[in-house]
Amino acid sequence: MKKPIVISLVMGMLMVLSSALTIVITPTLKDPEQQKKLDLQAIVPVEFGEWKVDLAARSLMVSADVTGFIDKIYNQELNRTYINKHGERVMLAIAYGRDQSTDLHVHRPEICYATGGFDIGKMTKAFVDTTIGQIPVMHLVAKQGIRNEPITYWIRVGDSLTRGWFEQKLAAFRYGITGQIPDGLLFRISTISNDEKDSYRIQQTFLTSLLQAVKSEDRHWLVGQMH
Amino acid sequence: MTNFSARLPGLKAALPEWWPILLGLMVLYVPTFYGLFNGLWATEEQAHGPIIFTLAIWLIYRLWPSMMDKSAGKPSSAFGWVALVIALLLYMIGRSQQVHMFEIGSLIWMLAAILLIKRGSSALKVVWFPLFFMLFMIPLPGTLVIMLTMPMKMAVSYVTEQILYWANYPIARSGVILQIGQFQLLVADACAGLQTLLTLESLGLFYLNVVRHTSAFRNVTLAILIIPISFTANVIRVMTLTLITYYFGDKAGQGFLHGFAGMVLFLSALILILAIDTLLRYIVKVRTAKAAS
Repeated sequence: MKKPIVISLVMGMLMVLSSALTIVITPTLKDPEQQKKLDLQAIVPVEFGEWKVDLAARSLMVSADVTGFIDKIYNQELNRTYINKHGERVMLAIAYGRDQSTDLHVHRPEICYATGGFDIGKMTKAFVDTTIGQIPVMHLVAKQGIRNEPITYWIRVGDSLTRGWFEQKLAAFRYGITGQIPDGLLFRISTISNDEKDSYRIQQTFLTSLLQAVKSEDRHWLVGQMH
Repeated sequence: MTNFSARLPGLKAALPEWWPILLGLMVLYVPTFYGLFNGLWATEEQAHGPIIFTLAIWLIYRLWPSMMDKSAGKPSSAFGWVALVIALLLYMIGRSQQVHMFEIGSLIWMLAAILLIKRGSSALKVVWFPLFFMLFMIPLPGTLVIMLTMPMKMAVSYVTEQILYWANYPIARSGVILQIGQFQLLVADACAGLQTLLTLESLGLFYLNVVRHTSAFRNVTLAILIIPISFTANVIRVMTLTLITYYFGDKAGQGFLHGFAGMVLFLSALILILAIDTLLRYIVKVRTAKAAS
């Protein structure tokens, strides 16, 4: 055979081999059957500790194109406002996505709020002590006009809890190279108040009694297996 | 397409040497493009992707005979194998981990590798533009888009506010929310104009490449000026939308007039580009006239 043809054959073979190898290393959904069992509405109680759902709270209106986008990336969501006997209100938002590969990953609040016209103030990584252990969280303050909204959130990717872009990407990548697509969940609580310190204190007590109230076999949906 | 049928015998003669490469390319990239047309390229933000791909293929097709001529009998380049390995690695990581930037970017490395191995570096010199042009069809990573989009949105909102305020409209702004009269408008991501900028820039470069102006000054200046032009066109669009909402209400602003504002964007961009091109041509003419005298 002539040399140019041999070279072409070698190149073609390399390409076909790479294509086959790609199919082998492409990650697949982690435990898809298990993931269909989640029912957010059921696992988060409407009343726990000194908190109960505030039915008077008006839920935020979301425009149609945003709703379409949200439906695409999240398989389930939960939005509630809770109130305690002191009249303190905490807004809870949980969003669950089965597929955390790059296109469909859970969106970080610092991005969502900015897109919604909020100014994002200081962001700090912190740990919140709860009765089930320490939870790594991100604190940030979103501001729009006179509305000041301190937020606490974390994003679970598979079994790791992440804050911010880098941790989220790293966790998804770690699963990716082991051939798995992890599921993911955004857990966000916020209060509307100008007193940030007090807000985070309220959010911590809320979080502690919420996690305590969720059945231990359901807790992994929110905080992963390691807790 | 008389030109195409004239090339057929040549294609037949080349087949024994090229079929393994063509087969390899199909195996790698048919799934990629199938996924693109059903996903990313079907979205509004990446709608320019298929246009750029088609134009690039057309450019390569057009340059192919002269590339074969100029590279005939030239030695193959060893760097081609390096490029091939890079292309295959990018492809494998990109496709398996859904990094579109790597997966689509690998095509450029792959085409360069094929040319370098089969025809040597002189072939690459002939078709460098279509390969460079393909850079525009690579989707930017989401994080970078978000990083660029926010300040661009801020700038568009700020300029819109300033101009309309100066024109005595009752307008105020907080972040990316514009308040005009009793209406509140949220400047959406699409209004940031990042995609508009990329589309205009790529089509501008394509135009310059096809028309082949001799003056490098005119080419480079126009390519750079497309950036402020696209920004201006975007401000005009947002202003149009704001005024439509102000005079005709919310429904009009979100309805068919929204599409109309999109047309305003491209028309104003086109007019600005043509105006500046005319001006540049005039400057070049004056300069050459001066140099001659």
